[in-house]
Amino acid sequence: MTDSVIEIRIHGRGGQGNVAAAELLALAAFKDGYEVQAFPAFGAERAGSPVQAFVRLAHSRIRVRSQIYQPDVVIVQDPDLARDPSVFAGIKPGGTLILNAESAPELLPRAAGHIFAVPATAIALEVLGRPMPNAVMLGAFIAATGLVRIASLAAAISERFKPEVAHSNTLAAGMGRDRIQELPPGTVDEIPHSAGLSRAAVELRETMEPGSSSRYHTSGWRTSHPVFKYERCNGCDLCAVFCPEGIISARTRTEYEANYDFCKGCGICAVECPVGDIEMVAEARP
Amino acid sequence: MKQLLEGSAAIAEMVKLCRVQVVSAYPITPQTHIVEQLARTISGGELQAEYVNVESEFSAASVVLGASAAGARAYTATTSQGLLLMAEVLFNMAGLRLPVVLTCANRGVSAPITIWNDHQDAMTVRDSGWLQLFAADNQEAVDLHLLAFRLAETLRLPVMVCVDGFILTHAWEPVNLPSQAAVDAFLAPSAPIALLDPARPATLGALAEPDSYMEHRNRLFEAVEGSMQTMERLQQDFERQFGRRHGPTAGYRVDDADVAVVAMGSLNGTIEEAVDSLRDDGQRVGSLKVVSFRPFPAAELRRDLGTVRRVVVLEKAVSMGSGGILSAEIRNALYELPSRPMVKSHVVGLGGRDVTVRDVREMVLSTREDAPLFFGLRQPTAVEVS
Repeated sequence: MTDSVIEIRIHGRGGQGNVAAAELLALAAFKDGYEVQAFPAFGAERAGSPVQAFVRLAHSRIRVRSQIYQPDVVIVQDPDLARDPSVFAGIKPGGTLILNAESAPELLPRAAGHIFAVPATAIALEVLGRPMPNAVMLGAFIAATGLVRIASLAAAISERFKPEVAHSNTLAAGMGRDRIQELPPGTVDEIPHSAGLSRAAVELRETMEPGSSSRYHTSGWRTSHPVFKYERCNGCDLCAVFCPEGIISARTRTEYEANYDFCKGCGICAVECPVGDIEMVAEARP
Repeated sequence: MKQLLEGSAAIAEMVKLCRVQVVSAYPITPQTHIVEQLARTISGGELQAEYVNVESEFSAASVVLGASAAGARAYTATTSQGLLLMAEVLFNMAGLRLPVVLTCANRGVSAPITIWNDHQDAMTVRDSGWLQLFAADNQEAVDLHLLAFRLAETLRLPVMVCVDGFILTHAWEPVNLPSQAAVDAFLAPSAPIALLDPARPATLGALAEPDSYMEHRNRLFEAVEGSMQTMERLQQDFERQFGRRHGPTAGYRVDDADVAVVAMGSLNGTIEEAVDSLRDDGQRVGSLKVVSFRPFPAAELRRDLGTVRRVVVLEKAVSMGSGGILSAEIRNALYELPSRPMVKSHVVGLGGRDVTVRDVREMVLSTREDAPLFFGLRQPTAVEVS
């Protein structure tokens, strides 16, 4: 690896705009005169699954195309993933870690030179009205690294989104830049991993082991879950029919239940219920 | 001027600049972004063309076959199972000498299902009579599409441009897209040949009895084998106009090398990085990119690899019961040399397995002749053993 290439790894879950974050970061850096490369980790293409995206920045042509195992910067978009130190695998000594977190996770890597936290989900909910942390995290990236100009990020956002969306995302990025906090140095030595894979990749791999589907509780992907109110249920069965996972079943004629080990929180049951007896409730995070 | 684009978007833009008249395709990962963008371009009126929706890749190939026979500049894109479903029609298009251009967003084949990259799809139809060009990066992918239309129409042969699925199709990187005027200067705005014409009724691909079939096949063979000369001439034209050249082979620090690493497609960037790092360690290593797999650049390989001691082939496809496909063809080409280098094959990157600079270094530095064909296999897990 040429030392002059800056390698950035983004961890998140499908639906958090991880690939978009990589593209926006690359576009902003391209406007600042960098050679750039951005690509996703090509995982299962569905909301909630752990995903990675990669960005390389350099001042000469970028040739290498492997995934990133020794990042200069790690961005963790999902607060749950930030609690798992294996997402920090391989971070370069002195590297920078940027977390979407309200408070400091317990296990942080000793190798990182700087660790930052920003309450990106809260800011996104406030500014965008939905838990889309990517623009906030990019603002935080700029504050943490100084590698890209905020004006270039704003220009990249304007190029990719419609004016209203661009406006609120630019606002969110600015708040990410302003509300970033540096955390104390990490205390954990890097957790060795046989294949140098992040937890996201391991989760994905475990999904693909033969005979794993009953062991692999996919409920960790969801951000909300259905609550059956049993107030107006008419027993029409539509929730069970439309559930793409087949995990809703009738307990009695007018009482349905979901297997929360496998419910991914897609919300289709709540949309299909003709009498509004199902409510989607946000996950309580520890 | 360079733009930052996703590989798929850059390819779709170039196909539009080539003024295709008929597009027919069936969406399949990782080809989808290419045909989605073309569909939008056509429905938005930016490109005067017919986009024919179909229910399978077999139909998509059949539509572009018919369109091309009627004189339209026709284009399709697919990958993996889709390419295999097209196989029968691919042979027909070559046999009918139709200048169709196809993008293969290379992906492995089932079973088990993979959506990720390798070259097994394209290599499986290598004997069809299509020219096959492999792009190493997105600039090359874009340029090869322009070259492909010109080659196809000059030679009356179909051309497949192979672009590594996800690794290139979903990668954002700077690409230089030529202007419409520059494209028009290189490629005539409409296709030159219409075999089917109501004014001159004709039958194409009719029965050839044993007394003529071999002659037809021989003419196709000669056309594909002899296409290297035309390729060379058009590459020179392209280089004169755009200042870039794409094969049929391209060497990197290989002139004084003892060991040459040979590969097709996007592996080449990572390989060049490994070559530099091995050179820093004092190893005389170079690399050679094979851009044109059909026609096979045998003479070029003899020229480029004639003085190396060892050739390390990194290949993303395998012929079951035989071995690496690219390496077998390289050995075949080098057999005529008075002093032949050793040729070691490593099958890598199947179904999207990542290949790193470290992996390439390890393969180059390993001189074990009995090293397994498949590089870097995982130890079986408990579940797999039971």
